[in-house]
Amino acid sequence: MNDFKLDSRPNIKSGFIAPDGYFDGLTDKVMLSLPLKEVKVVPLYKRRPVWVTSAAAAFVLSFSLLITKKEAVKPVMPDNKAIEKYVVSNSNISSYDLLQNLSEKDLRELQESAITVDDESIENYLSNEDVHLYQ
Amino acid sequence: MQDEKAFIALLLNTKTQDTAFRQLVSQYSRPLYNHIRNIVVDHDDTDDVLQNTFIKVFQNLKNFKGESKLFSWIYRIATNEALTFVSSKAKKGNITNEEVQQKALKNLEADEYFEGDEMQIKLQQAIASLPEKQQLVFKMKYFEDLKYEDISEILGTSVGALKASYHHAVKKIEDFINTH
Repeated sequence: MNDFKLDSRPNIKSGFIAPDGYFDGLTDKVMLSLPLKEVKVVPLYKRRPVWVTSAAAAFVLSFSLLITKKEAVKPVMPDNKAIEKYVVSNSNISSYDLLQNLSEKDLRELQESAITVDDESIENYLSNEDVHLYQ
Repeated sequence: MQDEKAFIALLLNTKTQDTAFRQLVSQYSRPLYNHIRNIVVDHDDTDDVLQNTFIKVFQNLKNFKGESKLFSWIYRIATNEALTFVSSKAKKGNITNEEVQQKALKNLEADEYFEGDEMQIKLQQAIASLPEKQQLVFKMKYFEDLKYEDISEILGTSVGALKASYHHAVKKIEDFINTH
């Protein structure tokens, strides 16, 4: 068994070495990697004169009004013909239902109104509706 | 001490900070490199930890209260950075800190930045067989030749405990070398 004693000899070196020139560039490398110092930031809006701000506000306001005006488009109203077509094709209301809800005055007004049905239309309607007279 | 106070004042003054910090880096680069390299072993890892240490020092200068010496404070940051690095490397590799160290020592012979002989490799292996704290105390005393009072400030351990720790470490290392 050997009798190795650490203190009885000069200190052994760790054996670790750094690459040649490593320490030469280290300081610069470290200085570059440091976080940037805080710089006082002057907000840009503080530098703008009042008239610039006012002009910008006026421009934005007028522009937004223009858009609002354009968006307010008049609604398209259906004409009488379209209403009549809709009632005929899409409504489930029978003529009996109509009679129940109309007063004599309404009926009289209807008769006097411009809505007239010619014979040909009645004939077409009856032939399309498959009405049997003798049922 | 007065010199150190003046130097700290230069470090804290935004006008003189850059020059003073350059001086600090150039003064501490070599000793801190050796200190960190003794813990993390690999050169590239040491380079990373060393730069992080200086960045941490710079960022925390304003919090330095002057309760300890600037030297001890910087060494404490470097030690924490190095130990944290080893722990995070172990965590990433899902291995223990000791296994990280053993792995690094296995590569030592092939390491171009290690010029040790057989005895130096054996000494590194003997050190690696010690508990982490004993390793740290031994390296700081034996390789870096730091005073017990300074090591005490850096590690926050009493001088008496450090002396006992170093004594145990020496015995264990001698036993290791004699039996291997």
